[in-house]
Amino acid sequence: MVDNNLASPSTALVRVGRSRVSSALARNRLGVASIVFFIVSAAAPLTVIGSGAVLTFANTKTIGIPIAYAVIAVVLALFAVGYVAMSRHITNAGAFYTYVAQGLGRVPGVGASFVAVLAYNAMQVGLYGGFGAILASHLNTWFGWSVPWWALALLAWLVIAVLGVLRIDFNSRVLAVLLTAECLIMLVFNVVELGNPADGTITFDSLSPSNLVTAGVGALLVTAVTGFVGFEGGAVYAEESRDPRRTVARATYIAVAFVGVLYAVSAWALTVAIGPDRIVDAATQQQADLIFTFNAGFLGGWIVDTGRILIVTSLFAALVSFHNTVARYLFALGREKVLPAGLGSTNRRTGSPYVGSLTQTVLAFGVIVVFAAAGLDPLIDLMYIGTTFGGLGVVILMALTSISVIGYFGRRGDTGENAWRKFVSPAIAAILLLVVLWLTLDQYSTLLGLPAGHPAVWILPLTFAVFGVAGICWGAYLKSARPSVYAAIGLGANSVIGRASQDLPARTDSSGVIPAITSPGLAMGPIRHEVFRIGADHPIGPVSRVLSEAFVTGEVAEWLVPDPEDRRRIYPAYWAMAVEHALGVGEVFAGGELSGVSVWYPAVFGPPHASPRDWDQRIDVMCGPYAPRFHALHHAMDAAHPKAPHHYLAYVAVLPELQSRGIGTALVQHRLRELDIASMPAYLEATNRRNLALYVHLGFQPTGGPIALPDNGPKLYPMWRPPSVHRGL
Amino acid sequence: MTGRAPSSSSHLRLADEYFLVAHNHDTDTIVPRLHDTGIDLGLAGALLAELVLERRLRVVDGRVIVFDPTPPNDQLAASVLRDIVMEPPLSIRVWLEYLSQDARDKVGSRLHVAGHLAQTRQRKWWGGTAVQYRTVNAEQALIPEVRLHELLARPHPDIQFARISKDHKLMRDVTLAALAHSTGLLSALLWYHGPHRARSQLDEMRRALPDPLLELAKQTEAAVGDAVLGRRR
Repeated sequence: MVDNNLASPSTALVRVGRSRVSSALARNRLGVASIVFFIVSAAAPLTVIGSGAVLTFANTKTIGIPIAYAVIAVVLALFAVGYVAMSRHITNAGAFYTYVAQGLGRVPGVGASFVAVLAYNAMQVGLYGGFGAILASHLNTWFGWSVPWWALALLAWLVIAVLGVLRIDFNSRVLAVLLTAECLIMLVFNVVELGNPADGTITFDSLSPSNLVTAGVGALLVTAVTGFVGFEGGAVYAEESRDPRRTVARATYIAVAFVGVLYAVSAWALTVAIGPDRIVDAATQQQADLIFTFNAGFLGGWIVDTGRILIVTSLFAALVSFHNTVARYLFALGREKVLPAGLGSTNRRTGSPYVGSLTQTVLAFGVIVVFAAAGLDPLIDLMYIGTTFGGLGVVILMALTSISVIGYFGRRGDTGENAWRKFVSPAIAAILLLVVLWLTLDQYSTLLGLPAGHPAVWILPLTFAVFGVAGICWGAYLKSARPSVYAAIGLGANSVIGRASQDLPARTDSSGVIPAITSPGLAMGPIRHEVFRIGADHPIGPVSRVLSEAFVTGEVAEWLVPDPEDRRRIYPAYWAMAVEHALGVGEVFAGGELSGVSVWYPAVFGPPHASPRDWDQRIDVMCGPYAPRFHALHHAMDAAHPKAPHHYLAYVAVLPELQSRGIGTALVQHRLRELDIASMPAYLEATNRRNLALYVHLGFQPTGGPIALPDNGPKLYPMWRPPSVHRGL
Repeated sequence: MTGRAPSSSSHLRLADEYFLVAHNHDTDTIVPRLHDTGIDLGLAGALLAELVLERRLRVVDGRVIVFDPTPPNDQLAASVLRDIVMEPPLSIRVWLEYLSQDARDKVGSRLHVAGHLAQTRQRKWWGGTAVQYRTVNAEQALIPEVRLHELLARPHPDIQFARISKDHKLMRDVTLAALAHSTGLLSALLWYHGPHRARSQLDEMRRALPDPLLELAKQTEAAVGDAVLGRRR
């Protein structure tokens, strides 16, 4: 199991047990349940059924929304397959435009980012209308107060402005309680509704697929998409999840399935209770209060009032959630310098993306004021049209994203994803989403409840085109005028390092160590050939670096670790281990200002103690899949080792750039002189024929046959040098 | 009396200095100037930078690799280095995340042991007590900030940026400034002297840093940004 992605601790080469770091980091990782919860809580189920579905009945005059929820759940599940698969490979995975930037190109990516900002803003601001109108009607019901909707909307606006800057998200426990309560209330309502069907029979009219071929189906589908928006947020947690390959995917499927069933059943139950033929009229009259007035006839007043409170809190939570989404989009674009860099600054005290947050706040204020001044209806004109307009934008983005997934995987071979995730499912999703998009645009007048010739019918969808084209033009400008900004599009906060957080850069030439602070002039002097013995207390790093750099190329190295990337990684550790042992047991000499190193082991009383006792285990840990080769080399050398007393020259290495200057010869000669005086033979294994000649020059002679390494490996040439006072001087 | 007498400020290590710079020093307590994530990541970056500055670590292809496993004199730095030695090469981001988990406690207690901070117990309104730090010597605690100020707020028209990669002390100060910039702390330090000029000067200085330190500063900045985009705190 060799994975290049060493950044994530779970794929590191360590095979035995889990490392301290990965287990420490794993403690903070998210599991499936928490991510499902994050996703569903952004969806605000009671709002979607209590106001979204009811307003759809009223506005489109059709009853097909339950089947539309079911169909869209299937489409989104297909979409999620490719989306989640790609999210594992990119950074800034919470934003649709990243996918477009990486899959279709950075210029369309900027276009997508503009569309996304518009779409999410429309969603968020639209919800203000719903919040104001629904809370106003509740206040009227409870206390008889008549408060204008915009006053309440502005109240919420003010609170959200402050929360956004202070970066107070809802406490997850509070959200969990609210969400559970919402779901429970919806279940109770569903039971009541299904238990008291209109005319005494439960009908399945609204679930019939025939609703999907009636006029106005485009409006139904886009409304249904609107109810699901927020499910894409799961991808944000790709890098924080316990198992990056499965957790987010599972969580997204579960969330889509759960929400889809909940929506479809709840909306259907409502049609059953009111009666499929009467639901449109009832919804038109009572609007967002329909679900409560009906259930109040069967349930205690307190439970319906709880529902009324919960729809308000759920709207508020959705407002906060979309506000933060917009603020983060603007923050990421500011960090990338696609939009003014100021948007990318964080508040020093709270760490919130406050400039992005305030920008959204100002925009929302403008829209609320305009709608209030124009006297438009908050529920239909602001909430319904605003959010479905946002939903239309999200459909566009999702269709683009599906195509981008195909484009992304088409260009990359080694992703480890299967064809279903890479191509088939995104292709089906793209086709279905394009059909939804076409139906929506075709029947946009039904959605708006306006005659087909009304200018709004074409102005609204055209806005997205205008934003998209503006973004594309801006992207093209960046490409020509600011290439460094252009290169970082789609990287979000990681634009500063110019690559995704999980990617590691291509090979750099610098050694990655800060330069040693030495007195000037010393290093520039001539090569010094003095040889020093290195003491056991000398730092390992500088010594092992010489060996690792010198041996990292060559036949033996290529045989040991064929992949140069892995070799560059394994070798420093391997040689550090060797040097650590040698400094303690053997004799290490340095020459040429530590540009050359030789390692000797005395083998006077038996074989040399040339490797640490736990060599096998350490090799397993260090070299992972390559360990068998290291073991083979070790055994081959051991087997060929001569029995007579001698000194073993284990390694001689000189930094590649300083080779062929006599440093190595000086190093070896120095020790040979001493051995000659002591009448001690020497032994070594030459790794290639060029070295063989060098060693012959120093008095070594080939002994025995060459050592053949398994798997067609290179040959080693064992050499023996009897002591002599004459040779090698 | 807790802790030993404060030694001279030259014994402050990089993370200590970042800790002091990242807090306001009131008479009886210290108040963070920066959000929690920023301080934690900044300290983690500073702890790694300490080891890079001492030539114990190198940064190759975004991974942290041990160059020289000899333990530094400082206990905390030695324990960080030991952690790094015992792991396979991991990316800077993994180490930043790992170290940021308890960097504040560790650096705080290092300053406490060195006698720069004293512990005070504060009674909380719900009845428990919480351990807090206060500066032993407020003037000394300000020294790093003053040095940063010297470095950034004053124009250095004739500074040779090439000197940064040769002069160890200057390199350290620029690293501290770069980390402060990465975490968004700079605006707190330079608010009364046009931060704009300081920023452009810092940009040039940063570019003169050796690669590993510059990479570290940039990765810290990206980690802070990702913490904003990730929805959890």
